[in-house]
Amino acid sequence: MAKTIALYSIKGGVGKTAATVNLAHAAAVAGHATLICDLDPQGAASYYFRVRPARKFGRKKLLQGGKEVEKNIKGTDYELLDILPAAFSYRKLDLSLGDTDSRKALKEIFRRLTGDYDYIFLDCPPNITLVSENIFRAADYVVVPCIPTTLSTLTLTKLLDFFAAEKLDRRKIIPFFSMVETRKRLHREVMGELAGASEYRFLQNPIPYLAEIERMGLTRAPVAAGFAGSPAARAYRELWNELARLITVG
Amino acid sequence: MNKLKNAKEFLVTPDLAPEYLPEEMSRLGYRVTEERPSISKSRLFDTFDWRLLGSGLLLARGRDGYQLYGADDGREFGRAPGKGGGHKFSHDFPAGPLREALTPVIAMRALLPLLDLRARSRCWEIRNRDDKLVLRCRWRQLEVRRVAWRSDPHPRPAKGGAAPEPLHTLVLEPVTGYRKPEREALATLEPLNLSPVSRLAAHLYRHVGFDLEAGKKTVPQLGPDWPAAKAALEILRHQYRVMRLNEAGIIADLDSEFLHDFRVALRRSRAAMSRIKKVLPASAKHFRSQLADLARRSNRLRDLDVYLLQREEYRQMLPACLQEGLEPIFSVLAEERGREFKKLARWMKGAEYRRIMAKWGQFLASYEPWQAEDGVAVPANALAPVLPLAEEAIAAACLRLLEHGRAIGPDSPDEALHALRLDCKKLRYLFEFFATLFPSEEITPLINRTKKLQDNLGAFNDFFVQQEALRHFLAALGRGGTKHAAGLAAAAAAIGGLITRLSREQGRVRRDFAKTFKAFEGCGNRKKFCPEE
Ligand SMILES: Nc1ncnc2c1ncn2[C@@H]1O[C@H](COP(=O)(O)OP(=O)(O)O)[C@@H](O)[C@H]1O
Ligand SMILES: [Mg+2]
Repeated sequence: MAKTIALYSIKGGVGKTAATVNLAHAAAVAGHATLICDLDPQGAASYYFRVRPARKFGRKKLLQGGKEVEKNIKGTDYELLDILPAAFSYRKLDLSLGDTDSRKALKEIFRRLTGDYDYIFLDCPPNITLVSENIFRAADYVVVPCIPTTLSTLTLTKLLDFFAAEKLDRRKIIPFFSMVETRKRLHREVMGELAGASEYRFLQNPIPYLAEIERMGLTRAPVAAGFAGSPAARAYRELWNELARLITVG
Repeated sequence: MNKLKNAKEFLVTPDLAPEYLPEEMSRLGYRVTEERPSISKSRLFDTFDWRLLGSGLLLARGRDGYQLYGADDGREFGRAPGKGGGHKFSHDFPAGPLREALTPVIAMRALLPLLDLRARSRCWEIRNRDDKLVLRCRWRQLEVRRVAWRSDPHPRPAKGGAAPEPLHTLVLEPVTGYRKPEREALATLEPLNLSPVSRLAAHLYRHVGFDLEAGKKTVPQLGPDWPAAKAALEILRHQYRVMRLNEAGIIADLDSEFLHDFRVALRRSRAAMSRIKKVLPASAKHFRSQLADLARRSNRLRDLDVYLLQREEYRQMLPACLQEGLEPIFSVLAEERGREFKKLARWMKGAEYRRIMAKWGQFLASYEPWQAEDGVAVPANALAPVLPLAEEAIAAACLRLLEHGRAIGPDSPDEALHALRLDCKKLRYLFEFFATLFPSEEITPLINRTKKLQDNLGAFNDFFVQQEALRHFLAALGRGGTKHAAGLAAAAAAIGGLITRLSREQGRVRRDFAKTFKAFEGCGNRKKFCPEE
């Protein structure tokens, strides 16, 4: 049975997609059959893998689930790593989910895929919407990239409150520090304050702000596919190892 | 998911240019890049009866140690370090996925080194206009060589030592979700009329001269109007081949199954001679007693093999505190087995054994009663068609089994069940010999019923025999028949524990007898073969 890991944040531009792509790649390199579901209509993850959705694929097919979804899974250039590319019509996914009046629609769809994979990563669009609510229920873990500023702490608190209000399992939420710039005083202060705070449970390994990660838009490949020994590749690998340990220990 | 899952491999002729397909793909508008060529060397292993191949598995040892794959799709089941070799049985491998997958398939059989493979491979990546990988194609040159080792139990290949020609293959590895490039590649290859290889390993084994069918235990197909003597000879020749095939492995002591298969063939030979009556000349009589002698000479060794194979099972039957008591017993058994093995091996290497087998083989090759000249006496049934004889023999054996079985009640002595087991066995032999004469849908249900009955009676007998052997051992302990006096009490306790378990099991099997027999008796197809008026 696959473990489902959603990369989620209320905010955009915090490194969700970068983390999805590189953590999933690290999982595959470690020998696990891995699937990325690109749920963001912007399709950034799909773009990084040079994958386009089939013309006929869209939100309706996604919601039909089963074969319609399986048919549209594509192999990436990397062994053991597949992707379900995003379609532009996902931008109206909220409407469709509103019609089905179900907060578990996506959970059902991903459950059908869990037999074929060890890990399923969900790259999510920002905001709290019906889609995100579905995702919170479908995912075993909700991994949240946080840029260490006061604002992102606030959004994390907001997310925790939302989980509490909706009676969702708060233990699913696993934040990590993203785009960290150690030369900045603010980053250091915020991290020092939050790293040990038991109510947040931050992962120990941060992802630094690195030009190499920014350049992924040009290379269109996971950082470790270029040079597995680079600082960025190492950072994601260590973050993955920590996350994988946490998941297997339970 | 696993990209190799849908890989297609084709045999190609040596004159096909490796670059042909990549160039054609490039002409179709794909971006094609060649990766660095690679060379890999590995050695393939399997059991004497091809158990891995038969289960779709492949065990190879290469630079990174042992790897167990799916023979068709290349899916990896597990790895183990290969340092130092000496991995003969599954329990020689470290615990892990490889051993877990291996054990149920090969059981007690030894892994034999079979062939060395050197694969030179050129690989091209085919990419679309987004520079996305959509197909890989690979050209492979495979140099194969049979592993030469002193105790190789396989028959030598007919043609002499020259290394076989290298083989060439073309592999297409599609990427999930990209069907079109693969279709285009297949269309390009279409005019070349290539033959796909579904199981490359089998192909390689044959290429170096292995006969994958040689050890097949199935009995040959008979014709209903054959003279009975011809049918009997066909059966006997097959058993003879199986015996000869297993000799080398017995003498080299590779695993216990060589002797077991040898003895099964021996028993079937003897059964065929006594079940198919009046087809062999009086001059063949002495072969029967010689085969019986052969069986006798290996009885003790087989018994000891069976005890030693049961070691783990026996340990599991006992609580942990009694398990250690078994160890001195097993070491005594292992010592005795060593002596028995030497005796048998020496005899089988000797002139007398070889003479007997040669004579028996000559007789089987030359006996042709249907060619007999006028006036030469031919055994009464030799020329009669086999089908009516088979029907008659099956009906008679079935009837005897029914009569004796019906006479058994809950209070009948154990001996009655032992006797019934022999009746059952006789019927089983007839099925083994003659099943190919009857429509499968008629005879198979009856064979299955008989098998179930025989399993029940066999288990009953087994539990009895094991208890007898243990009792015997207990008595020997009492007489100081073991050097391990210190472990005496522990050994006695362990034996006591085992006998208790075994007799309880025997009782359970005994209670199942009535039901199993009823099922046989009531089997609709049974009435077809043995109508009882
Ligand atoms: N650790 C990092 N260092 C430098 N740039 C990063 C880092 N993480 C993400 N980026 C860049 O920031 C932008 C937004 O990141 P992205 O992963 O797409 O965020 P999200 O998915 O949360 O919207 C992208 O251009 C990405 O290349
Ligand atoms: Mg994104």
